[in-house]
Amino acid sequence: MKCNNPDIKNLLTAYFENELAEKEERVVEEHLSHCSECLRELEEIKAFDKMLLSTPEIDPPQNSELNFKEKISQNKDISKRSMTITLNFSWREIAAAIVIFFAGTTAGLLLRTNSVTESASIANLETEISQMRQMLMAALITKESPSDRLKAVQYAEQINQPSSQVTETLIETLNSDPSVNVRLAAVNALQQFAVHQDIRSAMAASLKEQSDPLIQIVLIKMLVQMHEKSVVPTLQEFEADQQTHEMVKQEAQEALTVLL
Amino acid sequence: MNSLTDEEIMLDVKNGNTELLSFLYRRHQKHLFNFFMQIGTEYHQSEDFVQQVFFRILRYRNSYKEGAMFRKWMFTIARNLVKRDYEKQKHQKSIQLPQRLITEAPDDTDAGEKEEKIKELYKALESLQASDRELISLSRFQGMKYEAISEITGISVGAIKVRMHRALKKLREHYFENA
Ligand SMILES: [Zn+2]
Repeated sequence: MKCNNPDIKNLLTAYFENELAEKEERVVEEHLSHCSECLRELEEIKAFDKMLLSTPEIDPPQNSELNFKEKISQNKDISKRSMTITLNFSWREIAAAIVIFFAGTTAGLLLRTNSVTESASIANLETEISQMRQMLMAALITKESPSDRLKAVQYAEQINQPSSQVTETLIETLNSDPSVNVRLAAVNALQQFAVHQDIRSAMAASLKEQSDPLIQIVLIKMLVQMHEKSVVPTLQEFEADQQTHEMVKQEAQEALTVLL
Repeated sequence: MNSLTDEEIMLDVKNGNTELLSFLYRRHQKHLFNFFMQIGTEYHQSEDFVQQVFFRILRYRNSYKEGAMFRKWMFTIARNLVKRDYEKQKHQKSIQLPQRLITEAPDDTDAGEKEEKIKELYKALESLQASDRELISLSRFQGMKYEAISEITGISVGAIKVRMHRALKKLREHYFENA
């Protein structure tokens, strides 16, 4: 008997592989009860599958695992190297951060050791400090000297729950500050606030604006760790663009294999 | 370690025990290698791809999401690697068996019979499009459910049902045509 239902026929493999919804399964079974052509095809599917599954796998080259371990240890050296580059590059920023960090903790310690102070007033003081940092940041970010702007960014980093004005300033800085160091510091500051989706999106959008390979690489790394998929089109552009720095291209390619 | 699931080991890797990745490598390298071969990658290139996949898993271990099926992630990375490579080379992939399998005449021994079966399969795979080979490999040889394949390839489960049927039918016909 010639089969009169090609749509059902097309489901036979899925039926055999147990991939049909219950309802579809019932329809197929009903059809099989009176279609000898489909019944025959189902038998063929079964027999061929048995044959497929009995085909042995091809052995990979013997030394595969050894090669892998070798490559991993090479990679360790590479990551160490690039780490040093980053450190050399931003030592000044790190020094500045340390100074500010100490300044922050000293203030905190003073507050805490003062046992008579009520916790409410501690909170008040902390808010005040936070406001002070915001003011300092606003004042410093417009300065001509990069080290002043660097300080401004690091003040922003210290603010616990930054207002949208603070994060906007950071994004603005990241997008348009002429100094690479300042932009790099802005990336680091923003990373802390990246629990907010709009900040992650802004960072992804900013990648397009960046021309410095270091910033590009740092941004890509961060965005991949955050699994920020909106960065994919930019990465694809980087990959296709002849002008992109080779290292950035590599970073983009690898990021794409993970994100896509 | 062998009693742990892929996901448990991967979580350990993510938490800093990177050397545990070699367990996952040992567990999956052969299947992954065969996946690359089955979709039409050359023998040594396949080995290289296997290493690149695990290399990326190591590098991006922090982006592994707890609870996500490890093999799904692994095959997603694998397939993207091939796709990028393919776009770079801009030429149609053809199935390429290792020299040993192509030149040696089959004999009556067990090994000869094995090789013969592999050759027949690969000869039939040659006649399929890369995307169909991929579906067949993931489903029949890697044992992935349609739901997982859908997530890896971006093809809807409904479409996979029909495409899988057509692809396997084509493979079956070519297989017996050659035999
Ligand atoms: Zn029928």
